[in-house]
Amino acid sequence: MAKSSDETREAKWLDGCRKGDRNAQQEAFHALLPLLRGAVRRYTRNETHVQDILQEAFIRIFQNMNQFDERKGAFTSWSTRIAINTAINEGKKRARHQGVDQEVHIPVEPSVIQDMALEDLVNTLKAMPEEQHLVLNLHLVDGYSHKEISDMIGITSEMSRQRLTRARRWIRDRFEWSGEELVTKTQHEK
Amino acid sequence: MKHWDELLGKRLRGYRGADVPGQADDLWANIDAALSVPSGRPTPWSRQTPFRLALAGSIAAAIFMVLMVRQADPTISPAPTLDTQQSEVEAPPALQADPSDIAATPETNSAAAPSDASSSAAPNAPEFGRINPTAPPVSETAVNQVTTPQEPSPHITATSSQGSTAGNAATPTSAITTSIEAAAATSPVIAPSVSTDNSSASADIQEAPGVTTADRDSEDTAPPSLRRLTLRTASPILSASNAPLLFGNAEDIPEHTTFAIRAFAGPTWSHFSVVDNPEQSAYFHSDNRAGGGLMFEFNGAQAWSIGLVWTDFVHNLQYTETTETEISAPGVVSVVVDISTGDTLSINEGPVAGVAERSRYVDHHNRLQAFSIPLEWRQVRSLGQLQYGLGLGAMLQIRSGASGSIINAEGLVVRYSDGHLSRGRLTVVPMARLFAGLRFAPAWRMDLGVAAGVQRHASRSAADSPASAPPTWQGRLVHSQVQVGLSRFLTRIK
Repeated sequence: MAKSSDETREAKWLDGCRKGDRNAQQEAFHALLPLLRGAVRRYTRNETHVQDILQEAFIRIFQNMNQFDERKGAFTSWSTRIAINTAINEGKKRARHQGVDQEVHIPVEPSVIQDMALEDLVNTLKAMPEEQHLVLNLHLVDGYSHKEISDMIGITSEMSRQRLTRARRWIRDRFEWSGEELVTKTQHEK
Repeated sequence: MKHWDELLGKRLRGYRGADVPGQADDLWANIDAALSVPSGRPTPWSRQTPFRLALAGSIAAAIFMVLMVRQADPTISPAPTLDTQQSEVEAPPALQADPSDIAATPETNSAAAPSDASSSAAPNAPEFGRINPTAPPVSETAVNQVTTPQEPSPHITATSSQGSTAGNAATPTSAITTSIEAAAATSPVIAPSVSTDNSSASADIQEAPGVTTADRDSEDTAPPSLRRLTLRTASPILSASNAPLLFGNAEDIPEHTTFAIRAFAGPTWSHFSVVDNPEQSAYFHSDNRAGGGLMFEFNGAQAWSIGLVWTDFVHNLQYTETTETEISAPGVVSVVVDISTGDTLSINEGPVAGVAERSRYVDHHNRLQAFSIPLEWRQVRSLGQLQYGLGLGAMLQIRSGASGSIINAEGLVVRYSDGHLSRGRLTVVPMARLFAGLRFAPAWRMDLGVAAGVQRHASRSAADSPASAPPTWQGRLVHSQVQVGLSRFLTRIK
């Protein structure tokens, strides 16, 4: 029942947004903001860039609303993809201008991934080399295939796999495993 | 038991981020303002693809040529033209006398014509080539001057208004002929000299006997029909004015007297190879960009062309750069084990030295932009409306910009810019071109061709390079272009 209500609400946004109705756009903005903010923060190391990326992403979403096809997927997935692409492109631009990434030093508590505070976990992973962090997010969190990743960020599928492997190694090297997580690690390495 | 990275993914998917107070309002205000701009942000021209620029250039060139044609073609031009063909005035050769001879004949008076002219030109000044039957009647005196009612040519008006033969014409017919010749000799445009003032024209009229009123009437009621003829200039040289250019049928244009302007554009393709380190060439891949230009094609005893071309060549460097650095990370330094029991007594932790390997994948597009002046000899064959052939020549290339990346001896990628390339910006590039064109209209041809060239593309010499410059390298650039264009044939009037 609740799902049906959400779908009705989403259909309303879509109609309104396609017609350029500012009220519908505002409603969609407030509904999408937490989701997109989380996605953008995962891909952005500098918090000051988050707002710029979000703004750009929302403008793209509203300006390209007519390109959204409900038959191909949910509106939230489409919006998230736009936000992620915007964040990736912004990251590329800034990488060109800034050159070397700033190293983030965050103390890692000797705890398992499951027990760690989510905000700390996100910030800890940002200490990873940027290209590995990007592939980790795209593949592990957002579920893109290596082929899709290669198209999105302009690398080969093999390179995407390599980066994911390095990202996993980076995590294993920095987290202390115990209890169930240790078992999980053992199973994984088998 | 779930895999750890599945757990990680699941947790991170649920991440929404802490809400920043006021962020949503600020954000929406900015988005609202941006969406309120009706046309969105314009894309700067520099970010547009060269293909679009090339297309725009082609369209602009085509529009320019069409406008030029409209100005030059007398059948299109809205400007009035004067009929100066001698066939309208079929005077016997004997009557086409020199004005000085005409002046000696006392019986005639060419000023008779101005009376007609004054009556016709005044109400209908722009239509110089026609008699206006509704023109106001002239005075009896003026009518009496008309000696040949059948040929009241307006050209007489023009002549008389200039006063060149007034009162001197030997016969009416000869006066007409002479007037035309005189007018043609003085100016290709007779119109401005026509007097539109009835009174002044009449004042010039002198009395001449032997002309009746009936003559006047027949003249007024049956104006001769005059054809509009092409205005020709005394100079056969092509110019920008609308008068001199004549574009004839393709069959009418002798090939040896024609030349053409060809505007073209199309994608370029280029491939770079490192001459002094061939192993590195494997990392450079061909890529494409765009270019276009304007060529002047001359068809004399030999067909040759010269022009101005702008091209942008791009080749692609794809390379994985690997670096190793020594690091010190916390780890287990030693483990103390009881030999007898095998128990671990202690584990000593501390900094452990290691090697960190870092890979960087470089995907860079190297660019070379240049203006070129191609000089090309052509061998052209025709097959009906189809023309095809081969062009050989060279381009004098003037480098306008370059940038890119190159691999140094350590296997690292370093950037270079225009300043790191050879100091001389001029390069001579041998080139060849295969082309075909369809002459879809007498003076128009649609062209398709492929041009190719090879050139040196190298850095400055080691002695000439600053210490911080990228490594010196010698390279070769092979490039080609698909040229899609349009040609306009022009000719000179003999």
